[in-house]
Order: sequence, then C-alpha cells, then structure tokens
Amino acid sequence: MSAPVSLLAPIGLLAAMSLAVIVLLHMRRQTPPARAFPSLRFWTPSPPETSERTRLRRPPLSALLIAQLLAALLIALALARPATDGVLGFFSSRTTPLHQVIVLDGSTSMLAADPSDRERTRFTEATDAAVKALDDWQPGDVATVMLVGTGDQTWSASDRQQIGDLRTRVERLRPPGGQANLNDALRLAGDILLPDREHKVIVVTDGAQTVDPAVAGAIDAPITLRQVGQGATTDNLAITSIAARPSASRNWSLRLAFTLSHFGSEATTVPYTVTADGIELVTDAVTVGAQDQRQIELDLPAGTNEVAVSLRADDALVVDNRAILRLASDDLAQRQILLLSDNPGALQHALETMPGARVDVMPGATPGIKALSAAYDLVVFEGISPTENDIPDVPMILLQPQPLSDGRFAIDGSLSAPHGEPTAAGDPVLRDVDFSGVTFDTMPRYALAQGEQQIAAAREEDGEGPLIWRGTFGQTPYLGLAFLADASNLPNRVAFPILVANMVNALTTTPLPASVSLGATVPLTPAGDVSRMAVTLPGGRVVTLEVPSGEGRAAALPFTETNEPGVYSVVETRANGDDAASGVFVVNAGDRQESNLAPNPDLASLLAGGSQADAGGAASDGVLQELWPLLVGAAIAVAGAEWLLRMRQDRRRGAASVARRAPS
Amino acid sequence: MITRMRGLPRSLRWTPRAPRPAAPAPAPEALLDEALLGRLRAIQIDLRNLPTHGLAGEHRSRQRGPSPEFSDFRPYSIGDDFRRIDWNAYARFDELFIRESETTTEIDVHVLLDLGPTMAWTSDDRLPTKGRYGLRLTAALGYLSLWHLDRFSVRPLGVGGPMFGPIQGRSAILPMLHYLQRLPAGEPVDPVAALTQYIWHRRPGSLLVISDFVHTDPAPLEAVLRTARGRGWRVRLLHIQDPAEADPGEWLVRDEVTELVESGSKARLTVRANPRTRQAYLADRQAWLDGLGAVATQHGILHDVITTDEAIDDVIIATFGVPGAVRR
Repeated sequence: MSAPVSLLAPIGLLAAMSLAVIVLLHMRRQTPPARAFPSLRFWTPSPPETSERTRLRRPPLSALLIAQLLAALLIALALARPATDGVLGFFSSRTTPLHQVIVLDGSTSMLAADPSDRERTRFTEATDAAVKALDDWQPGDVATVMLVGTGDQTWSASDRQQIGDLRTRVERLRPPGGQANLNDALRLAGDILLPDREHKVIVVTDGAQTVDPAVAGAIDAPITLRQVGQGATTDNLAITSIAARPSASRNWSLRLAFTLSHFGSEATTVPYTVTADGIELVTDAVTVGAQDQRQIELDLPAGTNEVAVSLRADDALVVDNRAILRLASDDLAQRQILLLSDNPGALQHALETMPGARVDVMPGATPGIKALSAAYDLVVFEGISPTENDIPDVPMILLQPQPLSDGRFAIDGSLSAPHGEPTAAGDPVLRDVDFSGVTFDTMPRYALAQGEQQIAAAREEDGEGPLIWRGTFGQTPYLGLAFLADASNLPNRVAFPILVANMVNALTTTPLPASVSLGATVPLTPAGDVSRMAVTLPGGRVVTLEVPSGEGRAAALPFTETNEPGVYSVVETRANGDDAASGVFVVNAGDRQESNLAPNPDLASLLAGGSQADAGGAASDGVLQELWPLLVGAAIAVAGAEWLLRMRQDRRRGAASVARRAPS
Repeated sequence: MITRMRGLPRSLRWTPRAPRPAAPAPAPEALLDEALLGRLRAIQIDLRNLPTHGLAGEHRSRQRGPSPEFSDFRPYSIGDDFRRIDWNAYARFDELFIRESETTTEIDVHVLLDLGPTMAWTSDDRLPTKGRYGLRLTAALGYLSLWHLDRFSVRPLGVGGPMFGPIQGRSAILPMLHYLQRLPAGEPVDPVAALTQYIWHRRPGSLLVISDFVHTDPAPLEAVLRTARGRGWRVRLLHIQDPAEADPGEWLVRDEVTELVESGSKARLTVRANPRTRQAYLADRQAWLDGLGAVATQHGILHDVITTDEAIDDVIIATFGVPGAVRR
C-alpha cells in the first residue's frame, strides 16, 4: 500500500526556512511607534523595562505571527508538491494525464423511466453521468465515450474544443436500443486504452446486464460502475414474442400467438387489445403472476395483413407494451425463384418451404429463359441446362446439367451408387448438412472446367467425381449438383431442405426481415438497377440510402436507425426515378432480457474482476492528485486574514492622524 | 452630547466602549451644508443671559418703546413722554393713557477661535480635527447670528491677519463663510492671554471662546474671567475635545509602548498603554476639568465640553437654543 501523501518535490521544503526568518523578525526589538497627541500634561512616563532593552525579545505569540507562520508553512508545503490518492484528491488536480473510457449502456432497458417522470429515462440519467465524468477532464487527458447497444459507437476527445463537442454530442444522444454486449464493449475499451496515461473505465448502466469477470479482470484499468435508475420501480409488463401459424381449425386463416411477460413482484391483471389492419379484434384482460408469462392465442380473419397487440399498463418501460406482426409479403420480403423442371417434386417442396420464397415452375423446354429470369432472384434447372445464348443473368442452381459446347459440364464417365463426402470444409453450402446414410443412384461423373470449385465429392470404390461444385458464367454464379433429387434418398432426410436453403442463401440476397428487435441492424440489399433506398420510420422521418454505383450486384446497405418500435417501410428507387420495389419490416421492443429491468446484483463484483471495481462511484480510483492548489488557496486565505488583522491594528493606532496638520 | 462639567467623572473601567456612531462626514470644501443651514434657521436663541443692544435685531425685547408695533396701553404717570399719550382714548375715557409699542433688539456675538497646533489633531480619520470642528461651530454660530441680524465678529487665535467683523446683516453670511474657510493653521497661542487682550478693546457683548484649553490652567483663567465679568462681558467657554482625549483607552494598543509627541512643542514621552497609565491619565484630566469648571461656576459662566463626534446643530440647540423652541 502506498503512503497516504507523497512529496513530488521534497526540495521545496527548504522554503520552510522562511519560518525561522519570520520568527527572528518578530523577535527584533522595535523602536516604539511615535504618535502625536495634543498635550502630554496628563500622561505619566513609563520607560521600557530592563528586559526590554535587549536587542531581541521572546517571540511574541501574537495572532499576526501565527498567521504569517501558517502562510509560510503552507507555501513551503505547496512547493514540495504533495500528492495523494486519498479523499483530499477531490479538491486538487491530477499529476498524470488520464485516459478515461466511458461505456454508456444504450440497450432497450435504458429507455425505462419511472411512471411519475416519463421524460427522465435511465438513458437520460446515464448521459448526465457521462457528462459529469467528462467534466473531470484536464489538459493532457483523453476521454472516450462508447455507446453500446446492438452495435457500438465510439467517440474520443483530447482537447478542450473536442471535449465541448463530445459533451454536446453525449447530451443529444438517443439510445440505440437492443441488447448491449458489455463483454465486447469492455474488450474494446481495453484495446483502445492509450499506453502513456493513467487508465480509468466508467460503466454507466442500469445494471440489467451481466459481464464475464475474466473479461473485466483482463482490462488494465480500474472499472467504476455508475448505476442509474436506482430507486425507481422495475415492475414491467411486455409482449416478448408474437407469431402466427396456419389455423388448424379454420381453412385459409391464421392463428396468432403472443407471449405476455410480467417482470414484477406481484401478480397483476392487465388489459390488452388486438387489432387487425387497424380494426379492433379483441379487448380483454389477463392475469399474469409475478415473474411469470402467459401465452395467448386467437384466430385471425383471413387476409389480415398486419396485426398489433397493445397492453394498457402504466409500467416502467412503455415501448415493449406494443408488438406488431406483419403477415403480408411485400416485394422486398420475398425471394422470387424460377424452377425449370419437367418433374418438380421434392425440390419444389424444399424451395417453397423457405420463408419468403415464391416459386414459379416452368417446363424444361421453356424458351427465352434469359429474358424471363430478369424478374427472378434465382433460376433452378433440374436435369437440363440453359442453351449457350440463353444463359440467365441471375444466379442459378443446376441439377445434373447437360454438357455445353464450351466444355462446361463435360461428362467423362459414371459413378455407381457413390456416397457423398464434403471436400471444402466450412463451406456455407454444406453447413449442417450430414451425408451419412445418403445414397445416390448411378450418376454422371463430371469433369470440372477451369474456375469451377468442388464442394462435395461423390465417391465409390473405383473412383470419384464432383457431387456439388460452384462456378460462374461471367459474373453470374451458379452451383452444380451431379444428381437429381428423385435419384437419391436425400430428399427423405432432413439434410435436403437444409442443403437447398444453404444453396439459395449462398446465391441470393437475404430478403427484408418481417420483424427485428429494437436497435438491430437491418441489411437492405438493393436490386441491380436501384440507385436509392428510402426508409420511412414510424415517426414519419425518411432516411435515404444512396446505393453506390458499380459493376455487378450491390452489397447490402446496413440500416441502423431502428431505435423506435413500429412499422418501417422501404422503397427502392431506380436511377430514372421509378419505384422498383417496396417492402415493410417491423421493429418490436419486447425482449425477455431487455424487458426485465431488475438490476443484476452481482454486476459490481463481476466488473471488479476480483478486486478493482468501485461500485460506489468514488472519484479517486488510485490516481495521484496534487494538493498544491489546495495549499496555495489556504495560504492566500491565511494571508488575507493576516492583512485584515494588520489593517485593524493600523487603524487602531491611528497613524494617519499624525500627518494631519491643517485644520481644514 | 454636551458635557456640562458639573457632574461626576466618567467611569474608569478599562472595558471597551460601545461602537461610536460615525459622525456625518463634512464636505471637504464646505463648512456647512444646506441641510445643516436649514436646521440652524429653525433655532430660536435664548437671550436671557445675553447683553443686547440697539433695535436692529430680530429678537423680541422685554423693553417697550417707540415703535410702529403696538403692544399695550398703560395709565399715564409723571415723566412719561406726552407725545405717546393716546388722545383718542383720553376723549373716550376722560383719562390719560400711554400707548406702548414692542421693540426688537440685537446681540453682539464675539467668537475667539483657537487654531493652534493642538487643535489640528484627530484620533480617527473619520472625525474632523478639533480645529475643523471649531471652524464649523463658528460658522454655525455666525450664520445664526447674521441670519437674526445680530452683530458678529470672529478673532482667530494663532493666525495673523485681520479679524472678521463686527458686521451685521444676512448679506455678510457668505463673506463670513469664505473668511473662515480660508483660515490657515495657526501657531501656538495662549487663549487666556488672547482673551485678556480682547475684552479690553471691544464693546462688551456675548463672547464665545472656542478652544481645547489644553495649556490653560484654572488660576489665570479665573483672573481674566473676573475682569471680563466686571466689564460686562457674558463669556462662554466652548471646550472642544477629541474622543481619544476624553478616554485614550481605545486609541492606544493595549500593552504596547508608544512614544507620544506633543503637538506644537514636539516634546516626546514614552508611555505603556496599560490600565494603570490610563487610569492616571483620566484622573489627572478629570481634576483639571473640574478646576476649569469650578472657575467657570464661580463667575456664573458656562463651560461646555463638546466632543468632535457630536452633531453641530445638536450642540447649537443644547448650548444656545430656547428649550423646546426650535421652529420647524
């Protein structure tokens, strides 16, 4: 343990010699002060005593001497630059520059507020605490603010101007929502700490989090927990799931199921309302026990596009009291697949079971495939191949394709009853696909052309050939399969729909999701000729994303502004101004973890990582603070008191009247 | 407050006194301000012990005489001026009546003002010096006299040059104030000697001696007061003192050795400010004041001890005003 106070410049204590000088000056025998008086006739002379005739006298214990000694002592101490990490450091300045990382929890639970003051959310308290922490900045310090939600954002400042800007930015921050991964945030904080400074990490959260103590312990900085929302109610009701499936009792209708969770200490009865396309369907009440949940199911009318469930609860977190389910499929929420087959069966069924997939089946001899495929995201050839001048410009899956004149799909033999084996480990096409027990009938042995890559092999005792491979027609990718679906027992296994889904996902973009959680990043994948995507938020604000121009298919644009629950509509616009496609997705706030507002009582000890955390939020944190400003301030105060004392004595002596001679 | 030195001496306790109320600070260039002038005009002078002369003043006289202001009738007696017989009354009552009229009178006011070095001293910058205070008191008395058409004259002691007055009339107020304002500091002077010289060269009237009398002993004062009384002067001693002269307890720093320098002579004396020194000082001074007071009482004159922290108009009212007769 270090000493409570350290002297950074002990030589400064030499100034304490001035104390002896002051005492000597006070011991000097002084000539009595002369003062004028009108007449001496009534005064009795009283000459100095014998002891007063020496040059020095005993030090007079006057208030003046004590004040002067005290002021000199304080200045001598200040020159020695004492520093401490104790409580006195609160009044003084630091000795070394500090890099302070403020981790700001922006998860959905931070939107909670006490019902008596809805404006002051936990996030508002958190930003106030962050701004207060920024106020400790001194020249040479670096401050970093990390906003942690579903995604992390980081800002740093190292001079006064930047600190002012950062403070303004923090004051205007809106919580991103979602789930905050404090482990990732702390790892990042540990990585960005500058090596030449003292370190300090402040975690500002409502405590509804958990942390790996190993991660916290690995950070080379004390971690301070500033918990917000303490004392406010944590009782909360939320719709934590909502889904629909075909009704077993009624044809052409759907059955809605939603879960109502209660994170409170006592059972409560809450009214709820279900609306379908804006028309009230059901209004009822349900009793939910403490820390319990209830699932409610009801049939929806046929043709319902959108269903919403609302709770009438005056609880801490309002945003999770409503959930929306989008049932209609929009353009952007679908995958358009063209299946060219004379014998569609298991393959068609596997394609149609994919969420958002719309499959059109046409005969294998359909002409003009290239033109026809422009309206599709994927073309699947089963047992046939496109003619060389009619190759689609969209991704393709080819099952047992016929050889082409350019040498592609050439056959150099056959394989009898082979079995399948993955050859490209980790390829997403084969993820979760298990070939064990899968048998194939006799299949052609393809000779792969240059540029084609084998993914799985078909092996038999005498040889092997490619089972699944990938290649490209120019810029257009495709996947080839050496077998037909009905010439194998694979369609009878669970591996088949998984394999089909993996292939479709590998070749096409992800469609617009029907529902995401608050704060989630939504990938928006524009079509090839789309130049702009406009997203209309629930509040009416429109966010426009420009699609970068370039060859080939555009990459997905991340859309991150999903921090308010509700319906988001997306419109794709072509370069000529025409709308290409539109879609809708829904953001719901209800979540089993984030709707539970109760703080984690172990968070402080978890952050401690064993020893270092300061759950009380004290400011010292082991950083040495210089005490000289405090001492200089005290010396100035004592010197001021000494001056007043001196003035008072001078006034009493009335020295000024000596000079007065004239009557007017 | 005026201390008439006929009472008991002050307490000799060494306890600090209550904070003294700050005296109104005089304007540096003006001896009297407008507010003080207004209050002075409202004061009615007590004439009971003052010799009066002439008819020019504004003061109502007990005497009756020829004047347009009718006062009363009285039966004719032998020796009366028959020109004052009211013949109309005789025709009506067949008896002779004398018509009496009211007369006014004036006062001769003389001021001897000590401006010696001992008067140029104050213990506190917030208070005027004794000399300055004496000038203000003289200016107030002069204003009062001239406003009531009395005859007024000033002889500054220790200062060369002509005296002011005697002069009469309100038009002399401004010259009087200018005269006083320009008076320089004076040389050491004995007020008794100056008084002796003055009473032999002037017509007797009301004589006000303004001084701190620090070098005046009771014996020579008694002699000159007796002479003045015999000549018909009504003398009044206005004894100016500084609060620190009355009690230097607060002025000196306790237990500190101080070298006192006497004003004028520059004589030096080392004293230690302790209760014993203070007690001795107060006792000696009180004995001296008692001696001056006894001399004054012996000749029926007033010895007013005035401290420089007192308001001028309060001093005028207490010293010269008719009790309860201040006109507002």
